[in-house]
Order: sequence, then C-alpha cells, then structure tokens
Amino acid sequence: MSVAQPLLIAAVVIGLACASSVAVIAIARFRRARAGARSRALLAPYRHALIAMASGEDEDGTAKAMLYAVPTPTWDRLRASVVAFLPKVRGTPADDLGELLRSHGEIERATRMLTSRSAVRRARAAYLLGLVRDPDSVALVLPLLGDSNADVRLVAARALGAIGEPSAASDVLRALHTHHGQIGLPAWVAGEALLAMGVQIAPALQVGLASKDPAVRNVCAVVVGHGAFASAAPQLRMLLATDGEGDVRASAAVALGRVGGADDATALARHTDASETTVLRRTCATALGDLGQRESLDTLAGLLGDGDRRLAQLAADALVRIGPEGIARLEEVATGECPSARAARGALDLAGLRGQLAVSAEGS
Amino acid sequence: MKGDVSAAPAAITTEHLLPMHVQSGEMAPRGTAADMFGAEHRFRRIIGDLRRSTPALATVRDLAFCVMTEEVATLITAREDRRTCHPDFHDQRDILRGVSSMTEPVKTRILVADDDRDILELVVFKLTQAGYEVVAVTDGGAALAAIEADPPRLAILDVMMPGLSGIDVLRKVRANEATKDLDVILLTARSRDSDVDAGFATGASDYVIKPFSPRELLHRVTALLARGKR
Repeated sequence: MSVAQPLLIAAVVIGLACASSVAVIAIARFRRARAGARSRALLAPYRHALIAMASGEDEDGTAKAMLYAVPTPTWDRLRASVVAFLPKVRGTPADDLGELLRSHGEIERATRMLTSRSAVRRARAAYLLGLVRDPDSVALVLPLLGDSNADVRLVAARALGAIGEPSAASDVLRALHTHHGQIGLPAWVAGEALLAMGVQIAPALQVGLASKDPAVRNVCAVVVGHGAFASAAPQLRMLLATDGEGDVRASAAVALGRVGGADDATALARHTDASETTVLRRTCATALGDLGQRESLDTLAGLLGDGDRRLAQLAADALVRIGPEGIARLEEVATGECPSARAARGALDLAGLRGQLAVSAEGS
Repeated sequence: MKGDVSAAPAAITTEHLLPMHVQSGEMAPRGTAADMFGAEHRFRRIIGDLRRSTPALATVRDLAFCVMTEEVATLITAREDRRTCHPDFHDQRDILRGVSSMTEPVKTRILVADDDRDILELVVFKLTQAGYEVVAVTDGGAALAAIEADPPRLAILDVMMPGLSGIDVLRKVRANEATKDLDVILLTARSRDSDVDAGFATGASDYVIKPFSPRELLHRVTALLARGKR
C-alpha cells in the first residue's frame, strides 16, 4: 500500500463525515422550521386575543373567553407565548395573563414540579410562580432558597423578588450564607430581589446590617443605598467607621453618599485620607459627590493633586456633581500643567460633553 | 373594480384587519368597490360579513371600534339590527380598504421601534385601538430611515435594538434640523438611574421602563401629544 492511500481514505472519511454533518444540520433546520410554521398556524387564531389581553384591551372579555377555551393540545403550544408576555407587562394585563395560566392548571403543575428530581424543572416552576406574582406562592418557593442546586436557588430568589413579598426578605438574606460547601446566593441577585420587595423590608435590613456574616452586611448596605432607606444611616456610619471588612466599609460609604446628610460629609472626607485603603478613598470621594454638600469642596479640591490619579479624577467628577460651586473650583485650577489642572480640565471636558455644564449654569 | 380576490382572507378576523389598517405602507386606495356605495350601505354589509366571519367577536360594535372612528362605530351600532348582506359585495379586502379610507384624515402618526415582536405587536395594537396610525419597525436603522423619510408626530423607541440603539437614533433625530422637535419616548428594560439620566440627557421626551403598563404608556403618549399641541 502506498503512502497516498491512507491519506486518500482519511480524506474520503472526513469528507463523508462533513457531508453527513451538513445533511443532519439541514434536515434539523428544515424540520424545526416546519414545526415552527405548523405551530404558528395553529396559534394564529389566538394571537390577536393574546395581544388584546396583554395590552389591557379586553374590556368585554372576548379575548379572555377565547383563551380560556383553548383546547389542551393547542394550549401546550400557546403556553410559551403567554409566559413570554408576562415579564414584559405589568398591572391588570399581567394579572389577567396570570389568571389565564391558572385557569389552564399551570400553577398547580408548577407547584408539583417544585419537588421534581430535575433541577431544570424545579427552576422553571419557581420562575413561573415568580412571574405570576401570587403572594400565596411565597411559602412554596422559599424552600428552594436552600436547594442543592445553585441555579435553582438563584431562580428562587429572583422569583421571590418578582412576587415582592417583604416577609421573604430575611430568608433571602439567610440564603447569602455559605455553609456545608454550598455557596450562598450571589450578592447582586439577593440585592435585586430585596429591592423589589419595597420599603417594608427595612426591619430585615437593620437586622442584616448587624449580621455576623460580612456578605449579609454588605448586601444590606448596598440595598440601603439603592433603596434610600434613610433610617439605616446610623448603622451605616458605624459600619464605615468600625467594620473589619473593606468591602462592607466601601458599601456603607456608597450608601451614606445616597442617604446621608450634611454631617456625613466630615466622616466621608476623613476616609479619603492617605492612610486609608485605595478602594475606600476612591469610594468616599465618589460618595462625597453623591452627597452634594458644599462642605466637601475643600476636601475634594485637595484630592485633585493626589498621587492616585484615579482618585483625582473621581474627586474632580464629584466636584462637577456638587454643582456650580464645585465647577467654579475646577475652573480655578484648570489652567496650567500641574496634575490638579489636568484632572480639572478632564472633568470639565467630560461635563461639557454630558451637558452638565449647561444644566449647572441654568441652575445657578 | 374589485381588489385582488385571491389575496383576500377566507374569513375576516381582527388579526387580518389590524395589520392592514396599521401598516402605513398600505393606504386605502380610492375608487375601490367600497367607494361605489354610500357609507350606510357599506357599513351594513360590513356588519353582515363580519358577523358570519368572526363568530368569536361578541358584537360587531367591538370590531368597529377597533378600526373606525367613534362616529362611524356609533352609526354601526345604530344599524346593527339590520343584517343586510349584498351578494354583489364579495371582496372583503375592499370592505376593509373602504373602512380604512374613512379614517385616514384624522390619524396622528406614531412610529414604534422594537426588536421584540411581542412588545411591538402589543404597542401597535394598543395605539391603534386608541385611534393612532402606527408605523412599526424592528431595528434602529429602519426607525431612523422612517423618521427622516416622513417624520411622525411621535416615536417610541426601544433602547437595545440591533444596529442603531434607541439612544443612537434619538441622538441623530435631535441633531437633524427637520426632526429635532420630534417627541420621543424611550421604552426599555434598562432601569438604572444612570440609564434614565442618559436617556433624558440625550433628549428623550419621556422614559418608560419594561415591564410596562400599556395603559400608562398610552397615557404618556396622549399627554405628550397634548403638550405639543398647546
């Protein structure tokens, strides 16, 4: 056998494999397209009724009657369209779509699937119950915060956030703990879920700010800042001053910038000192801009020449956000070639591009 | 005089009706069979045809409100008990065109751009029900082209679209002398404060966050248009 023969055989085998792969893909696409077209044709008579319901234009109940009477085989295909609309609308249309799902037994089905052996089914069930936003589902979804599968825990937290029941806040915070090798909820998922639960979670946040778990304290501080829970400001001050975790102190500083008052400018300014960590200094400079107090002008102007150039940029940006007085400070130092002047010019240029200079001038 | 009979639907549903009425590209041509008859006769025939073809509709008046001005719907309601159906009026598309032609002059045109088919259809339906003429597109480039070709009275733009984003379109609209005063509502899932700030800083007239209430969106559209008239 010559050397060329094995190569030829290999080339033929590879060629056949490629050709068969292309054929399989083409057939699969064709079948999918045909199934899609068949499904669309089957659902077409109901599409208008679904849009009428989702847009709140079904005052006489015509669409409702039509959709409630959909036969089971058709409903199995229509279900995905109904579920797809739910996260896109709110108010009465969302309630109506939820009731439509309930009328076709979807809530009962989802409730049964919560204990399925399949993690995908458990997650889908929690997702659906969250979309329907029925407070009665909270008790059903809560156990999934301790699910063995991290994705299911995540979906459960989001579902609880979508339902918006504040009584679930403590459980969501507890799910942040990492124990027995089971990683806690991601902070941002817990934070978003908590924020969606509204102002009634304030007591749970206050408990969380005093938690032994830094992950819980951190999330609580973030939520306090984003949700404007001003009553938690005293605890934030304490965390900023004494907490052993840098992340928690930084989150407390950010939150204080949002919910604090004039008195907090001094504390935040103190933590921009060179003896503090880089992260905390930068965070506090930004928070001073959020706070917007004229008492911070000297501190921020003093940071324009700092050796940490990122800190200088943040301080300059904070001066812009304080308003005309901060901008005047920047204009004072913007001439020349010293580091302070460069930081000031950069911030003023950016503010000009963002339209902030015009707004500030009008404000003055 | 009749239209293209082969293209006519076997039965009229609002699914057929609304796209014909909504899509700006399909204007009702004058001189069709529908124009051969007086308004009263026409509507009585419509009632007869629609009763037979859309049994799912509770009343013909409901459908009438879908596609016509309130004045015309009232006329239909008054004539609802007469079920005259003329055998010489076969082409349902002509009926629809005739109906559309009655309402053309009073429409305020709104452009809606969203790459999500569900939201696009929903907003189009809601605005159409409220009596607006709606132009629907699925990407930012098409939105900009439609606005520049024939500026609507108001545009509703999704922010995250293929090609040009809603913010990009808005920026170009504001930079163009011919369209700089166009009312623009941004309809988006981007809900952070910084996103809202960026939207208004670019020149949005209003900002609606998804999930949204269709009713609230309609109120905002109405309010913006009313503000523009003052």
